Amino acid sequence: MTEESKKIRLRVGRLVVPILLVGFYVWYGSLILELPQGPGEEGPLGPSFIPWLWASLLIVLTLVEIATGNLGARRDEERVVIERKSALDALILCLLLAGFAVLMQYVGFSAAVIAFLAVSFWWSGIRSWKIIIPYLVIFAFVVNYVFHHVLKVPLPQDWLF
Amino acid sequence: MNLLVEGIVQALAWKPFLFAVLGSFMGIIFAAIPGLTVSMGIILLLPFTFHMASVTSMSLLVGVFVGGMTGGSISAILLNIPGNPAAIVTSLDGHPLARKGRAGVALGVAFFSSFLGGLFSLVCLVTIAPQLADFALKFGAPELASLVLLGLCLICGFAQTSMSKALISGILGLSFSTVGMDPIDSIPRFTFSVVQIQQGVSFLPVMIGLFAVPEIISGMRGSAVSLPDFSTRLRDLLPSPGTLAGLWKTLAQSSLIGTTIGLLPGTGSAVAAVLSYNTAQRRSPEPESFGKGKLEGVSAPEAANSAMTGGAMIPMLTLGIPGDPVTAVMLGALTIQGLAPGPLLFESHGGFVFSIFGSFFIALFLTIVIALLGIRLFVQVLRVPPGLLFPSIAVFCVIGAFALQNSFFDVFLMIGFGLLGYFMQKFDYPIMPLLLAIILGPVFEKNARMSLILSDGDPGIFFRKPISLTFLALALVYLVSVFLKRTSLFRKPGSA
Repeated sequence: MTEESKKIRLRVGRLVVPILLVGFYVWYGSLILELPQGPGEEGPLGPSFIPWLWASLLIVLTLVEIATGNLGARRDEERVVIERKSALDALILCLLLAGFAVLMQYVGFSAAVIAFLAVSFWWSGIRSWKIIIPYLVIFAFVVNYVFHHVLKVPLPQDWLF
Repeated sequence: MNLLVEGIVQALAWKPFLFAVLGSFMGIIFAAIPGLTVSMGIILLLPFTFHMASVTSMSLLVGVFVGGMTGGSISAILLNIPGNPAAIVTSLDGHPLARKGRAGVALGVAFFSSFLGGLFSLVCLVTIAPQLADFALKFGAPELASLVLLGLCLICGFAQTSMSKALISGILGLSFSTVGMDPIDSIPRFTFSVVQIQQGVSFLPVMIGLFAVPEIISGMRGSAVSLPDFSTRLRDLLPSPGTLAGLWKTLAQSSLIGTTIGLLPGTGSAVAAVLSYNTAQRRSPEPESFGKGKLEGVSAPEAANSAMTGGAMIPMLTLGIPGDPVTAVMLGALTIQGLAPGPLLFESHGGFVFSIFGSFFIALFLTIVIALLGIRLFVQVLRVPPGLLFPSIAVFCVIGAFALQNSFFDVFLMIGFGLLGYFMQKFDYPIMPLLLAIILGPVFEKNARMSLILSDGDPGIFFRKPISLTFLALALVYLVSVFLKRTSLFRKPGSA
C-alpha cells in the first residue's frame, strides 16, 4: 500500500464540511423557529433575533466557502489531508476519556484513573510494568489527595485512597 | 505610582508570592515541553484557583503566562523543537548556536531578552491601561456591541487561513453562545431541558476541549528526545553586560513590536516573534548571518513574545476583550472570582488591578531566577516520554472540566469540543475565533439588543454614536483590506 493510499484525501474537507454546516444551519434554524415568544416578541428584538442573524451569516459564509473552496479559485491550491491513523487516534482517545468519565461514577476516581492510565500507557507504547505500576499508584494517590482533600473538589470516592 | 507599589506589596504577601513561584515554574515547564503549551498549562491550572483569593489566583495565572513566554526557548534552542509557536523563530538561530557549543549563551540571552521585553510591556501596561479604562467608561451599549464586533473581526483577520473559514469558525462560536438563557428576556434557548446549560455553555470545558484535547491526541504517540551536552552552571548561562549592551537596539524595537502586537486581539506571540525577527534581520548590517547562530536572532523573538504579554492584558483588563486563549482564561478566572473585567474594574477594584500589575512584576523576576537556576531540572523534564506525560495530562483535563460545576456533563462537553477542535484543525478551520466568539457572544447580544430596544429597532443608533461608528468603520476597513489582500485579483502576476 503506497503512502498516498494510506491517506484519506480530503477534498472531502471542502465538500463534507460545508454539507455539515448546511445541516447545522437547517437544524439550528428549525430550533430557532421553535423558540418561545418572549416579552420582546414584537418586532425583531425577541430571543430569536440574534440566533437568526448568526444563522443567516453562517449560511452566506458557507455558500462563499463552497463557491471559493470547491468551485472557485482555491480548488488546486489547497488539499487538506487527514491521516487515517491520526483520526482513529482521536476517536480512541475520546472514547477512552468518555470511558474514564463513566467508570469514575461507578468505581470512584482512583480506580478509574488507574484503569484509564494503564490502558492509555499501553496504547501509547509504554509497556514496562516496572514503570507503569508505581507511577499509577503514586499518581492516583497524589492527584486524589490534592484535588479531593486539599482543593475540596468532590471527585467520586472509592475504597482505594 | 503609589497604587503600583501597593499592588507589588499585595503580590508579595506569602500566598500570592508562593503561587507566583509555582506559576512561573509551571509556565516554564509547560512551554518547554514540546506538545504542551502555555494555553494548556493555564487552562489546566485554572481549577486550582476556584478556592483561592482573587490576588492569589491571578498571581498563579500571571506567573504561568510570564513563565511560559520564557520556557519555550529551552526546547527550541536545545532540541530545535519549539516548545510553543512563538519559539519557532527562536530555534532558527538558537539551535545553530547550541550546535556550535554555545547553548548556554543562547539560553542566557533568551532568558534576559524575555525579562527585558516583559519589563517594557509592564511599563506600557501600567501607563496605558488606566487611561484606556478611563476612556472606555464613556462607552454605552452601542459602543460595546461595536467594539466586540471589531474585536471578532480582528481575530478572524489574523487567522492564518482563508477569511471565510475564520468567519465561519467565529459565527459557529456565536451560535454556540446563544445556548442558555436569553440575556434580555431570560427565556431558555437551545437547552433541551438540560440544567447544566441553562446558564450557557461553560467556557472552561469548551476551552479544555478545543485546546488541550487536540494537543494530547497529537502528543501521545511522540517519542522521547535526546539532548545535546552543555554546561548548566550559572556563570556559563549569564550573558556578559557587553553582550546585552550590544543587543539593546534589537531589544528595544522587539519589545515595542511585541507590546503593540499584544494590544491587537487574535494576533498572539507567534506573530510578534516573527515580525520582530524579520525587523531585526532587515535592520542588521549582516542580514545574511541570521539563521546561522546570531544572538540577535534569539534576542528579537524572545523579547517580542514576552513583551506581548503586557500588551495582551491591556484590552482584557480595560475592555473585557481577551486577545488569546491565555487572556481568555484570565478573564474567566476573574469572572469566577465575581469580578467583571472592563473599565469599571479599575473604578471598583483599582487596588486589585494594580496587584495584578504587581504580580506581573514579581513573575518577571521569578521567571528569570527560576529559569537560570532550574535549567538542569527543565532539561530533565524534556526527557519524560510523551506516552507517560500526555495520558496524565488527560486526567487533569477531565478533573478541570468536572471541577467547575462538579458535573460529568461538562466532561462530555469537553470531549465533544475536543473532537470538534481536532477536526477543525485538520480541516484548517481556526479555533481561536470559535472560542472567543463563545466568550464575547453574550456581551455582543446583550449590548446590541439593548441598543436596538433603546432606538425602537433603528440600527442607525450604531452609526450615530461617533465612537461606535469609528469601531464599525475600522472593522469594515479591516475586513475589506484583508479580503483584498487575499484575493487573487490583487496579487502580482506570477506570484503564488
